Amino acid sequence: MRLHMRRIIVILLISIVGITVFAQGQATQTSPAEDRIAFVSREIVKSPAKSNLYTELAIALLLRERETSDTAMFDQVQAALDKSLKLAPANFEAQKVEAALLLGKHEFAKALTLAQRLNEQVPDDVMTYGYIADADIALGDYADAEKAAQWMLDLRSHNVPGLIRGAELRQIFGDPNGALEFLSDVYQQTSPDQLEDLAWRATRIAEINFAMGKLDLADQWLRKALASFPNYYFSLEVQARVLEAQHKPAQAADVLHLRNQHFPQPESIYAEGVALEHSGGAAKAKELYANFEQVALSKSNLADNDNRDLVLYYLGATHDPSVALRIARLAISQRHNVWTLDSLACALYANGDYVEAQKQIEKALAPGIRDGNIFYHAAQINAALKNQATTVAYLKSSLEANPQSEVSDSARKMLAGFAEPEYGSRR
Amino acid sequence: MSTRNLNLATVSILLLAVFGVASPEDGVTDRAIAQYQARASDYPNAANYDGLGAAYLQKGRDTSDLSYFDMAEKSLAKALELTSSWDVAAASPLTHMAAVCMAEHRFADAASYAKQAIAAGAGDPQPFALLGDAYTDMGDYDSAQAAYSRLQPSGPASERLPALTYMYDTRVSYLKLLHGDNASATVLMHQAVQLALERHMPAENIAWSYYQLGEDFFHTGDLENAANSYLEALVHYPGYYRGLGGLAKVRIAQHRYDEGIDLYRQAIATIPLIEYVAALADVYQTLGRREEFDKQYKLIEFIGYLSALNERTYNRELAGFYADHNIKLPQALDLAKHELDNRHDVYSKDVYAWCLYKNGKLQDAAQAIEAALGLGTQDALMLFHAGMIYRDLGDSGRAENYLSYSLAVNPQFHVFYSKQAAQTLADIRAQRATIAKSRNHD
Repeated sequence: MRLHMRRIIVILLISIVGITVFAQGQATQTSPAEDRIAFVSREIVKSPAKSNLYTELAIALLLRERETSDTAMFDQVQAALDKSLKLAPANFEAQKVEAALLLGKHEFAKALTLAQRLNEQVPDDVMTYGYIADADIALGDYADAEKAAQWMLDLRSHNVPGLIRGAELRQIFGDPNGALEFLSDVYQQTSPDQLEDLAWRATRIAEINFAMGKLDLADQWLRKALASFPNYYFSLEVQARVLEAQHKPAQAADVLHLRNQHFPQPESIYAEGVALEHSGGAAKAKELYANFEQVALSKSNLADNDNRDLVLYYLGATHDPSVALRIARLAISQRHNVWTLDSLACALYANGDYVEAQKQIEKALAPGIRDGNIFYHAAQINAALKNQATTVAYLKSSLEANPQSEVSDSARKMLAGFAEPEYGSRR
Repeated sequence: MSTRNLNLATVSILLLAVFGVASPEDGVTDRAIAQYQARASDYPNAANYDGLGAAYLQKGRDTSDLSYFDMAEKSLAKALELTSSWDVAAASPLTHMAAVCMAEHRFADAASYAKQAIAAGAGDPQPFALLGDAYTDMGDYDSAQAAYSRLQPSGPASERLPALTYMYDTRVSYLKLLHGDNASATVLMHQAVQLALERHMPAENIAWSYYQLGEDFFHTGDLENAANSYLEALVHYPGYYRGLGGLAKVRIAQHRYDEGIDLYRQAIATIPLIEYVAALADVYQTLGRREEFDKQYKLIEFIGYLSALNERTYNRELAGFYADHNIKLPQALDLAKHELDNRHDVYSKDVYAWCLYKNGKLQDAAQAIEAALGLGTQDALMLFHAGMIYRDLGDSGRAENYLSYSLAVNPQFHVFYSKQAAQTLADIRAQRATIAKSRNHD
């Protein structure tokens, strides 16, 4: 059993108007966030006692993190917020950014508590509902997330942060077309100057098309994204997944290699290792896996961890199911979203605990998500439990949800194995 | 109304294409200012300062007193200080700030604020309209069209929101006019009027739409339909200064001077727009009423130089007036040049060309008028300017073409230039006939 990579992206909805085209990490031209940082820094020199300027600086630094995936920015964000809060204790805007920072650091429970407190303070603030929704989505509390996202849309119809969260939830609730409808509205509302926003939004559209097996559409949207914001790490990561699905692992490895030139994250290192392994670069893949394992293990007890990827790794590359299960249990103690539940089910399956695996996979599927990989995992678990009819149903669902998923060939093969001989067949 | 699929709330898009629905006299704006002043004092939050800024902006529009825009800007800056520029809550003050900048003719700033408002992502398409407006005044018509296109999302026409279609039609109508497609401009404006009526938009919106339609008709010399449109504007919104000004223009073109003068006076009594004061001065000059002309001239200078902001805002009107009346010509050229630095639209280029011409810089004037006409705008006054420039350059062929074209577009385009155009054209033709005759004799 193999899990597919599906990184949880915290929807830090921050928009900025860009000025110049930017190449990630290559300071030939400044990025929108860099311009913003420079501008706000100049303003701070002029008016060092204005707390709102430090909040603006924190926002600009968060934007820079989103542009680059450089998590080292988080310390600078915190420092700017500390300064803002020192000048104006408990100021609402700075605390909102603090909630965004906590989400960025994957401290979802803390972010939720803070956002809820701010929401009590100002109940008609759209963005605090957004942070509540983000934290709930990451933690797997979809009903609460839905309520918060619905509040956003009720307070301001068609607002971009609300639509983005709505799209995320619609996807989880098994309505990818509804998700695309929202994101299309979002894309329509984006100005050509919002370079990174355009890229992020186009990549999300690509990602959903990819999950539906519409690889050509995904590819088109990724081209748009990369034209807006060249070498954007998020777009490159999704592009690599599309290339893998198109059976082009060598190209996928190249794209991930490019992505990992700047601020590589454990998950992107792991993805590069997988692509290399698929394209015959076992030695290099092994090297990357070792690097990934070392970094990911060192963070496994922290809030910002790569435990889901570690589960994948121990189930796949090293085939150490017991370690995978231990990590999966640790992950589920931190959050119980569909992806974590799915990886726990896979780890249980790999350890032969099919009954518990079935329970967990059913929990993962409960919100209604229609994901080719999760359905396939459900089929595998049910096959081990000899539930033939359920297995066949899940295999069909897997192929319906995504006829081009990385497990689609296996699903077809497995389904063929269950096919009954036709009357008159000579087989 | 929460559902599993996160439906959108009923879309309610504020009709902000035209600010304000109340007449300046009924005190609604003053009450709004007083209310928001009190609220901002009791609860100094972003929403209240935004409301106050919007109310000042409206007051500025109601009265044409530009000092209100200054107050609006201060309130909106405070609102923006109290929220983060990236938050959806910032979209409203950013949008209002863009509108203030438009009113103050700070087009680059308006574009910048509109972009920030868009980036805040509040789901309100109005900043796209303002962005397009700023680009239009900056002469970047492709970008304007691109911004306006965001008001018309792709998909079936039946799914388009009437409010957005209205915003789109009114603005694209103007772009069509600038591109010389007067027929399409009129069709779009007519559609906008129908939409305004069908959707029972506020009276001022309906009146404004009729006024714009009247402008399109006047532009092509259709005085009857122009008058009807202006009258409709006045029926829907009695005392509407734009309707009065438009109808005055038609009456003057119809040589019904007393009616025209009276209508201009009524318009100016409501809002002393420099454009109407100048038009009234032109009429007095035509009628040889020197004393009354002088009064209007003084009023123009008073309004024009009331404040630095007025000077910036009325550069073009002042330059055009001076040039038309051969007053302070070097100053007119400076004003036109300053205007062009800030506003690169075809009309600023036209006024600059006219001021160059009046200052005897004929080659530069020809270059400037060609730039003004580059889009293919079919504006009778602009074409007249081109004709006069080429006449003085001795290029009688081009002069004749432009002057006859001007009169073909609108034979009654101006209180005294229409006559001059016809006379100059006749002179050119007579001169050509004389030369031809003398050649034949030879």
